[in-house]
Order: sequence, then structure tokens, then C-alpha cells
Amino acid sequence: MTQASQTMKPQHAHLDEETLIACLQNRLSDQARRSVEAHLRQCDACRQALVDLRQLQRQLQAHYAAHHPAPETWQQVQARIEAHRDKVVPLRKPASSARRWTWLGATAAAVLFAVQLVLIQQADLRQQTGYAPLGASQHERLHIWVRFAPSADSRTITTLLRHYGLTLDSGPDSAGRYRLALPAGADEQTLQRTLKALRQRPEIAEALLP
Amino acid sequence: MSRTVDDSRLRIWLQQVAEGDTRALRHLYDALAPSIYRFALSRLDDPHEADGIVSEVMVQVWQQAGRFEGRASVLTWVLGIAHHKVMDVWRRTRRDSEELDTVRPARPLDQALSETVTPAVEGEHAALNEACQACFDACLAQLPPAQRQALYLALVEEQPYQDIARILDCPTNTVKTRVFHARRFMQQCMAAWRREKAV
Repeated sequence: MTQASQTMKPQHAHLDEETLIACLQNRLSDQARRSVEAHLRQCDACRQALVDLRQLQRQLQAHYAAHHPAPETWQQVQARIEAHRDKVVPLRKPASSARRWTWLGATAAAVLFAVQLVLIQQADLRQQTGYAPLGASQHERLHIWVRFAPSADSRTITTLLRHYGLTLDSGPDSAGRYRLALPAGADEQTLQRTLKALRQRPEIAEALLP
Repeated sequence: MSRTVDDSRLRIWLQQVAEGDTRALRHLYDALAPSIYRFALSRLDDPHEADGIVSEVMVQVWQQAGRFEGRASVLTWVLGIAHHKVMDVWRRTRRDSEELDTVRPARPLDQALSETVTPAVEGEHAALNEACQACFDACLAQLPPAQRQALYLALVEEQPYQDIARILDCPTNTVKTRVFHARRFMQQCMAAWRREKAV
């Protein structure tokens, strides 16, 4: 229930928006509802405001009802949790605030250090070979070769890769193709589905299996 | 949209997720993914980015289900996670120069109307409704993203203002202001469209 609806207002004062919305969504207490209904019987402006709000809510709901996540999003979630299966936080009581911040700080520092280390190693290897290094887990990952459309800029490409859970593995080769790694644990079915989806994207000029 | 799954059911699934149950995660996904997606869309206005947010949020739910403290509803907690992800994308991409509370350049009403079906084809009433929805969509697209997001949470997700403030990590009065301005803008934009049709 809203704070506004808790307050008994004089009958001549107009109802505020929060109260009208709470009324529209049946979130008022019995007492507040009686008070609001009594006001609405006397106040044309608030009655009209309520009608307008209901209309706006219906149109908004109709607008957003047409939007759904892409069907392949669940597969991406599945693939990613397979990769993180051992990292589930067990059910426990919340830590005290001080302990939590200490723990967060230590974790952040460790992660930052590890990321920096990997980046430095990768930069060195890339400089020597022209290719990104393959970690042990990446050897087992499935790959797709793609050539991006000339119109695809870096932001579009980054968004696309994130969307399909792909990572840029190496490239470009002499034909301008990049090797993309699927998320760890992705199976053949996911590979085929991703390949098919990529071939339909305007940002991709060509998508091939190795 | 009224919730089809109540909070107590979501809490049970979340607890099962914390114990490593992937079927419970699928149930949570089915119940919450549309809300997460539409919430992200209301700010980012990009379906691909919104899909990415759904994926990231669900992975975080999987990893951190045990950290849910039960102080808010599961939906509020999950949308709060989504908000941080959305803002990360917002800051990282082209929006860094765009003001969250600034009205976007108007899309001409004529353009919105010209994209609807002609009355001769579908019948005058149906065409008018469709034109009305197209015009509504055009007005919504012009709303400042922060206001559109607050309006979405208030009227589509039917979240109380206090919960919206918790999700968006802002004071309740900011929520009130954003919903007020969003509603006023939509009224004025739609009224302009009706005046145009009446001429």
C-alpha cells in the first residue's frame, strides 16, 4: 500500500497520482478505498484522471505485451550456467555489512589482479604470434568462423557477440574471417542454432564451421 | 500486466535454484524473463541489448540466489539486478552523452500515422485504433528513458513507488516526479494527435 493512500485527505483536495494508481491496481486498504471512492463520487477531475490512467495503463500493457525475449536466450543462459555450475552461492544467512564489504574488496582485488595478469599474457602472446592464446578450457570449445559485414562497427559487433555468448578467439585470417568461440559447454545443437542465427544477421557477411 | 506467478512461488523456486536446481531456474526464467526483457527495453530501446540483459541477470540469479535476503519481492530483487546491468550497458555505449531526462527529438505524427493501415482496407474503426496505437508508440519513444522506465514499472509491472525507488536506486520522490512528467507528456502528445485527427 502506498504512503499516500494511508493518509486521509480532506474531501476537497484532489487525489494524488500514487493513490490513483494504487486504486487502479486494487492496492488500497478497505478504509483508504472507501475514502477514495467517496472522493471520486464528488470530484469529476479525479474521476477523469482515473479513467485516463486506466487508458494509459491498457495502452502501455498492449505495447509491451508484444515484446518477448528471443527464443535462444534460454539456451545462452543454460550454456553459461553450465560453465559456472561450480560457482553457485550456497543458501546462507546474510553476512554482516562490514564482513561483506571486506569480502567484496578482497574478491574485487583478486579478480582485478587475475584479469590484469591474463591480459598481459594475452597481449604478449598476441604480439609474438598475432593470435590470442587458447586456455585449456577453450581447446574443448566449439567454434564458428565469421566475416563481418563492412557496415558492422565495433559496438555492433560487441553487442552481437555478447548476445550469442561468443568470444573472439582469433583472426582475421587472409580472407578477413574471425574465429569465434561458443560458450563452454555449448553442444552441437547450440552450435547449429547459433550458426543459423548468425547467417541471418545483417552484421555477418559469412558464417562457417571450421 | 498482472503477475501470473505469485511471490511465494517465486521464493520457493529461488531457494531451489540456490540448491542447484536447474529446473527451478527454468521456472524462474519463464516467470521473470519477459519482465526483465521489457524493463531493459524500456530504458535501452534495443532488443539485442535487452536479450543480453536477460541472459546476464539469469546467470547472476543462478550464481547468487543464496544471497536473496527476502526484504523485497523476488521481482523487485531481480529487476534491481537488471537495473545495474542496464546502467552498465548505458554507460558503456553511446548513451553517455544523452541526458536521461531529456525528451527525444519528436518523431513526426504524420510519419507514425502514415505507417498504419489505410481506412479503406481494414475498416475505419480498426484503422483508427491501429493509428492510435502507432501514435502512442511514437509518443512513448519520445519519452526520456528514465521516465519511460518509471512509467513501465508503475503501470505495466504494477510496482508500488517504494519498490520502484528500490529497483532504480533513487528516492521515492524522484519516482513520483518521473511518473508525473511521463504521464503528462503522454497526455499532451496524444492530445496533439487527436487535435490533428480532428482538423
